[in-house]
Amino acid sequence: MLFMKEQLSQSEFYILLSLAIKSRHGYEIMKQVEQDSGRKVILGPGTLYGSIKRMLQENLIEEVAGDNPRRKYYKLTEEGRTSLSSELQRYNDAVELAKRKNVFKDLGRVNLAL
Amino acid sequence: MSKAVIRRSERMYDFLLKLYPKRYRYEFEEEMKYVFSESLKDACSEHGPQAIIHLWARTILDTGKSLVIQHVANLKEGDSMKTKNTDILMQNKVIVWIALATGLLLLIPLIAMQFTSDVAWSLLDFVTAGALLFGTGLLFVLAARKMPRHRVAIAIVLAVALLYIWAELAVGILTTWGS
Repeated sequence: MLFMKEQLSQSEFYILLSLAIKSRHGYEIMKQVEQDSGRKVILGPGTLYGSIKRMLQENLIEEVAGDNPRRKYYKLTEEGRTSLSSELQRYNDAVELAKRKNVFKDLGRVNLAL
Repeated sequence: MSKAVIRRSERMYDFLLKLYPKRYRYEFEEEMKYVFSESLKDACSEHGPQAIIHLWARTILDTGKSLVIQHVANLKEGDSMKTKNTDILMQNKVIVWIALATGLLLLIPLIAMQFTSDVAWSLLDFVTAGALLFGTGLLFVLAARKMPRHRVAIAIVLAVALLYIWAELAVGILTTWGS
């Protein structure tokens, strides 16, 4: 792999996550991100396609044919899948570290079911 | 009613999309139209026409931010064909920001006019307000560059001057400029 992003932005992370199971078009991605984030991340068309453009340039996703020929569908590339795995691993490591240090207990409000 | 609001909103969003760089539009315009149109239908069917106002508020912020990013990216991508003009623009990105901020502020009355007759701006009102906002922003940037240590004072003086002129034009305080 010639280039891999060190860290993904919040929108890039959720977009990659939404494409982890199947290819989707823009509107489906937007709805899936909204659902996955519990409506904390709501992407407008500008942010959505700005991120898609960057991710296409970075070869994290690619355009594919889909059910509706009038829409553009996107799917993860191998690099995209690797980036997503690395990011999830990083989050998991951070949560594990916080658990070991009893940070959740200290904060008294974070209660994740991992 | 809802269908008319959706159609009008779609037309306004189509207009906003024209502000994106040509290359970007060529690639994503149709998709962005579709996403916005579906969002409008969702908002209307799930939460009624009021949700359209929330959607527009989000869309204006989203579009403003995205317009700046895409124009800057477009200038960078065109570096191989760099001209003196693009250099000037790159060095003065702040002017693009002021112009965009002015445009976005003017969208507020423009959108409000589509939903209520209480707001009725003429073309002259838009031109005057645009010139005032853009001029004040530009004046602030130029003055703050000359006197960076006094930029807070400059901002306060300019904001007060802007508000005063705006009030004079709108209702008239000491003069009859607005009439």
